[in-house]
Amino acid sequence: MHTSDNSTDDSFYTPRSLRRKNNWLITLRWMATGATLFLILGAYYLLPGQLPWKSLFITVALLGLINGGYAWYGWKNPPAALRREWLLIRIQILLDLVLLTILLHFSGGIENPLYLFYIFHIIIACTIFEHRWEPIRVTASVLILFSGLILAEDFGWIHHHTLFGDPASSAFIFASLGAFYVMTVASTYLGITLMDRHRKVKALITKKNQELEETAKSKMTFFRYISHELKSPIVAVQSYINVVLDLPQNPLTDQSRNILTQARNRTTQMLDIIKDLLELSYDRRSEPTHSKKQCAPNACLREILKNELPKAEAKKIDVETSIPDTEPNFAIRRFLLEKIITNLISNAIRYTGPGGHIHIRAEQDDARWRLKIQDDGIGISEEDQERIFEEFYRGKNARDSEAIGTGLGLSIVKKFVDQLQGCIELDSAPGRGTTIIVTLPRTTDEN
Amino acid sequence: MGKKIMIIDDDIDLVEAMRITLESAGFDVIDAQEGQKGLERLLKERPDLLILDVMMGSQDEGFHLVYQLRGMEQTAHLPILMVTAVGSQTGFDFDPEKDQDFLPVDEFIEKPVNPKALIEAIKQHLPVV
Repeated sequence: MHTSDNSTDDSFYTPRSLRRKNNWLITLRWMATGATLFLILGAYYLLPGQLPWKSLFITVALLGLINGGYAWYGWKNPPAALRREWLLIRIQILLDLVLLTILLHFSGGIENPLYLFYIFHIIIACTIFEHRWEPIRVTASVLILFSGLILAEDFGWIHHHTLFGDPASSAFIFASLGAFYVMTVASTYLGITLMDRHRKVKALITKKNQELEETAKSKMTFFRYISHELKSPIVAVQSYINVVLDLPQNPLTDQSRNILTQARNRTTQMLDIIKDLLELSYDRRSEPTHSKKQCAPNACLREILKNELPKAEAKKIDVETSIPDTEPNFAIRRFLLEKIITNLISNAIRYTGPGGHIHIRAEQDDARWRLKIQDDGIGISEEDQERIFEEFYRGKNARDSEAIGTGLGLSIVKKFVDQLQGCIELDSAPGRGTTIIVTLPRTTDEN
Repeated sequence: MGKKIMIIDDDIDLVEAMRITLESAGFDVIDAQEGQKGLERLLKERPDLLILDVMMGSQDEGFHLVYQLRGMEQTAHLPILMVTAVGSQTGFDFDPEKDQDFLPVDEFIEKPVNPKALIEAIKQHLPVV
């Protein structure tokens, strides 16, 4: 298993991600400034002892001022160098520790339980830094600053402001300091251990994710390979059949001609299935670059209709179309859109009887393009509607009316509509016809 | 004498089916299964038209050969029909519509080849004598 050492992998960070951490610290500090101000005001009205209120308020104001300075600096200097962002984080933490120590000095030193707030800085250091000894350094700073303050006050080098009236005894001071040391060191140890574990799990998940993506890619490659291998013999078979059927010098009995025609139909069916399977295995993560091309949906629809209308005419189906003259103000991936439209229209034609009607209507607004295809064909029963988008599933009506069909067409439509983050609505009843509405939203494409 | 047509394709059955079609239409047919041998034979026998499979052994052998032929004086204007597989658009990184812009062949024909369409395409692209 992969074990990470404790070195910081700088490639993991970007100046921008570190800036987010810097901004996070600034936000936290605004909250801390507000809370401290609130506490001092509370103490001012409630506490019996006299504290140097002016110094306290000045310290809090200084905290706010410095924080405003950080915010201003960040606003003026967009994230550029990792080094500078790291430095900014270190300065922030160190200055916070110093200011907290000053606040504690003015508010009772060891008597003030708020010295527990040092722990926050240790936890923050554990979450931000990956180097094990960065939080250790913060902990050392905490211990030096706080011990220095308490000892200096106890030895009388600096004034001790009492919080509750009576100055604490040396025994109390040393007991409190001892407990504080233990707690600080334990927090640092726990923080580092937990974050280590967290980072290991994160690294593992990232690795697994990469593996999955590679598997998906190799699956696609496998699919392409298999499809080529399956296709070649069938293409050869069909080519031979074509030669026998289509060359005038080959006299055939009617029966032979029928049999060969049927054989050709079946090879066509097989090729259609392979083609559909390929489309179904299509995955945007491994898509060829050309299929990222975008198109104007209404023009695309007209183009496809040009190919499909003759089939409808041949079946004497009346096709009525209503397509806006203008295009929506966004484009859609051509490869996906073409397959969706083609499959839906050819389905409508295939499952509508001679003399039937198909109504194709496109609509759009700023955020959506919608295609509605309504036919008065054979329709789909309610129980089939639930399964119609499943791979290889063909409704009973469909099987009865058309022997040939891959059962993949609607699966492809569903998959591609999903990839375009759209939705598909189906309204149908046997004998009454089918209405399919596909709605495709304007998407923010990754390129 | 009939026009001479060369087929380069690694699937001998496809070559055979095309050969029967073309011979029945009065053409002389020569063939090769692989690019470099095909090129040698082509330069020696100088066919009037070439039918070429997109991918033979490797995925881009067909493309490669087209560029090679277009770069040589003797074959720069040889009519080339390129045969592509069904579903090639999704199956391989190849899109006739787009690749036509940079792949200098005269026409793309989809497999399986329809005899009438094949003969039609050949007649259309044969140089008029």
